Amino acid sequence: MSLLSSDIRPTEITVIVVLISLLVLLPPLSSFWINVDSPWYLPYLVWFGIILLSARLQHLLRKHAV
Amino acid sequence: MQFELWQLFLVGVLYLGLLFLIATATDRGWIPKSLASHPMVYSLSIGVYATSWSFYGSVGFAEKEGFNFLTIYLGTTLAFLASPILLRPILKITETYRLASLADLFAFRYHSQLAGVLVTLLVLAGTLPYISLQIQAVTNTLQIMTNETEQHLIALMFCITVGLFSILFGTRHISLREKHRGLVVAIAFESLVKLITLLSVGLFAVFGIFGGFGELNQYLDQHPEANAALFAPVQEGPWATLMLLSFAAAFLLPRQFHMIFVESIKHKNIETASWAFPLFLLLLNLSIPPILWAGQSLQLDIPADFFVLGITLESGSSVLPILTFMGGLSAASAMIIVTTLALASMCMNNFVLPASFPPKLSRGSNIYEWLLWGRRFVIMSIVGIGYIFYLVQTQNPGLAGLGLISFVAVAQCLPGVVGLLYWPRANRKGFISGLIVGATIWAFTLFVPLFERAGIIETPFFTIPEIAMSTTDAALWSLLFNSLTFVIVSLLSHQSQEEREVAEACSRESFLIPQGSVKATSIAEFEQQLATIIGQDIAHNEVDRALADLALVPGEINQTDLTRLRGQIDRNLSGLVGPVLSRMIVNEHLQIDRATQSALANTIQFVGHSQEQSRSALRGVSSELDALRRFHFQVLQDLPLGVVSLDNAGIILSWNKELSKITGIKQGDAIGNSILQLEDPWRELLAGFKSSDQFLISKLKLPINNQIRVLNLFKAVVSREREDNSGIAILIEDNSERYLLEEKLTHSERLASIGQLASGVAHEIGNPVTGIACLAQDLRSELDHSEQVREGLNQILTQTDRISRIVGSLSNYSRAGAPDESPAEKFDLHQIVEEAINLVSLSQAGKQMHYQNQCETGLVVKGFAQKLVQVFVNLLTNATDASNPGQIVTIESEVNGGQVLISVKDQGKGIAEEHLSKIFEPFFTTKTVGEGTGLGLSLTYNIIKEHGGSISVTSKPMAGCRFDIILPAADAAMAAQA
Repeated sequence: MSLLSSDIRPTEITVIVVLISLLVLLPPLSSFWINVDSPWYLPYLVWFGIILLSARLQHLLRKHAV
Repeated sequence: MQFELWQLFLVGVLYLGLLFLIATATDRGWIPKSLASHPMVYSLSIGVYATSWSFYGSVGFAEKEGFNFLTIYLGTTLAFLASPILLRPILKITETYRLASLADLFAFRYHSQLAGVLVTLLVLAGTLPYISLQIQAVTNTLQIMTNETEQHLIALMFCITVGLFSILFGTRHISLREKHRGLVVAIAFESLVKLITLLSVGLFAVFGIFGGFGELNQYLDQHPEANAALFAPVQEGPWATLMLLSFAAAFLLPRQFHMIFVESIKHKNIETASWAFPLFLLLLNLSIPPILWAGQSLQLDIPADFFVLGITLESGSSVLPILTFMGGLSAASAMIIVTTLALASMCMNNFVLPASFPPKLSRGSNIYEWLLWGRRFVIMSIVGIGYIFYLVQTQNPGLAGLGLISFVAVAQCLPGVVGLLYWPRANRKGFISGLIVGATIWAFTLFVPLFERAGIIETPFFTIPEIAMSTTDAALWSLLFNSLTFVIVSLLSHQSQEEREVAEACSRESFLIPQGSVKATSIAEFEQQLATIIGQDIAHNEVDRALADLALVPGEINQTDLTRLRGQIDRNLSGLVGPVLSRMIVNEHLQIDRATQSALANTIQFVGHSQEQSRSALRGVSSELDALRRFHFQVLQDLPLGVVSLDNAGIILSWNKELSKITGIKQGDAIGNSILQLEDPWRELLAGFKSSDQFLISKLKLPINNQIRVLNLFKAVVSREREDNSGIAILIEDNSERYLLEEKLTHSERLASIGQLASGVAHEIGNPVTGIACLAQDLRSELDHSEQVREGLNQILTQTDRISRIVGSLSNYSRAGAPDESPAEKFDLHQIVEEAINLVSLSQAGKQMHYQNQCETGLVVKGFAQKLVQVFVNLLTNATDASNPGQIVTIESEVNGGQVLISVKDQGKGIAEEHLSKIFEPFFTTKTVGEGTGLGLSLTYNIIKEHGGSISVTSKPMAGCRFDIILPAADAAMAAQA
């Protein structure tokens, strides 16, 4: 099933992606990867994951526009 | 390692010179212009976000606050992640309405010059700490590298150099609306230098200081507190608040707004920037922890803010320190250049121009040059004030601390952004009140204490614990009170109609449709009115520019186009002098008549043109609606009825093809104009019908071009809730042809009944005439009369014979159309023609003609004699009607094989070429109704066909006419029938 079916508008998918990112970045979920025992590069990996999400979102929106 | 000040100064000047060269090369086309519009270049140019704070201050921030330093970039990442619903709509608004700064955006949305002024003041005040941060970073760098103690002098030299470069970069074009492609490429280059430098320093930290990643991990294992020091502050620190501040700063800082929106060349580039710019920030910050640990491991005797430079000085090489210096210079100079340009635009549009417009121009100068020099002066003033701010800051909260003060300042515009994009109900009073409240809290908690710490002012604020608070607490309180005030005041106060329209246009990304109609009636009037304020040349320039933007041809402008032109001039001037002043100029000098209810006309034209020209593809429901709109439009266009729709003011909204055919008025000449501007008789007809109480006029006879047109008119009133959205539709049905046909049919039926009457009369007359003939014969044969009596009796017999022939012919003629069930017979052609001539000669016109029967005697054809008589009667009658009295009509014959060719020639006025192909069609006639039925030749054609023959016509106007009939000879006809 395409994420961008005719029922889901670009605005809605963007809001969903932003909310997911906020969930990951803010407490309580952030405490899973922000703790003293985590390797120092873990925040960068999480950040990179959000950037990949952003790239994927733009790709989906571009396809939907076409 | 130490350097000489002159060496670093030279490096600095050369580097800035290189940047200027890159900018010049791009502007002149030495570097392809496509490079400036490449999405990666655009993404790197937004990297101006990373200033000295990022280059140097992140390490110091990481030392104090651990991974909280990443929030400055994570918030930005979220802002760009949300670009489809946040940045893209703002980009569309700034592009559509040519808004050149953040202050212009709010001045436009909230319809208030005061809003623009307040935003400018807040941003200017908030940016001063940021500018002083850059100056401080550069001077500290130079101090570390040279041990130079004359910091203030160094700072001054730096400010002058960067100020001059700002002027060179950003004020090179006379037209201030041109995009600075060179600036974009230069700033992108600086971002690349920053990235390469920091990554290089990071690699040096890992491999040069620690000896590799393995050794780094060993170090961390041996010093677990180093890793823990990064994570621990996050759990107790202002993680979320800092992310919120950086979210706002990502697009509200003046340099960010300028590069993302104002200097955007291709608006689609923002799609790539949504992930490319955060990726750039991630790579930029990857090196921070290793650099911090390297500095700590070396136990450098410098603030952590400058570990980036400090560890390179331990390398023993001059290359890395110089590279690092250039990276730091990139970070500082890019920030100051772009920020001063952005602030100069804001200050010009919201302070200088409203106070001093129109300017007093010296001879030979124009307003463009005045604006250019004004901007240059403002740029140097801002750099100067930044330098003074740097001078007074003796005890500051560090690079990151100064930067956060600026972040909190611009964050006060966040509620305004919500109102811009999502809440049309937000009004200027709410925005201004909220901004004043938020800015006041910011000032007393963060800005004023800077001066208190410096000892410049003495106020109790810094020492009162309740007011002296952390930056993040100040941010939360200021935003909270700002938002509350914004919402409450907006809900309690009234929003003007104009503000409402702008708010709707902004929040729905729809178009601001002009209301009313311009008072001017031509482009020349526009130029004249504008010239009184901006001069003749500039006015002509601006009008030409607006015409080109709308792709309007000067000779084909209607009233609605003038209204659109006014809107475009407003937008173009907005890019030059700001939205507030441009609106003042346009409202004052290109006045509009708001009483004219032309909203519907403007909407239809504006939306239609904008849809055609929109570069973004319509999606979803919009696309369906557009397809539906086009379908209905095409239906109207293709209707076989004339349709005109008008708005309440009588402006023509649509005029379909059929109506153009009926009236001869082209669509382009009608649409957008008033019906009172149409030519007669249509003006009187349509205007009268529009204002009358009738909804139907049937069979209206209208003389047009020497012809009578018969029209039916229908009217429908389209009522809407708003009167200025109502309209009228008028349908015009051209019934002329149908009316003519009806008349001809009536005439034909009349003739048919006359034929029947003739048949009856002939039958009745026949009997007494036969009686008279018999009596006369008896008298002649029985009695011996004198010669005179005998002669009289002979005359009686001759005349009764004549009456019988006439009556017989009339009877036959009236029966001619009916199918003949009697068998075909042979007959002499010459006699048939002779009979036809006798009949035609009975009429007054026929008596004056000369008929020459040159058919061979004894030429036999087979068929129905009386029908052929009718054929020749028709042809001879037509020849008589076309000829002048005394002219000759000749009937000739010729035998060719098994065919007989009969020609009927006259010397009359002939038949026009365009009629030749139609004359055998039923009801076709060139005679007026009542003079002919248009059936004669059609009947002739059918009769000849029935006889197995053919008929053709040759004619030229004023050269007579010739009908050629071909019939099979009697033997051939018999063979055909067998």
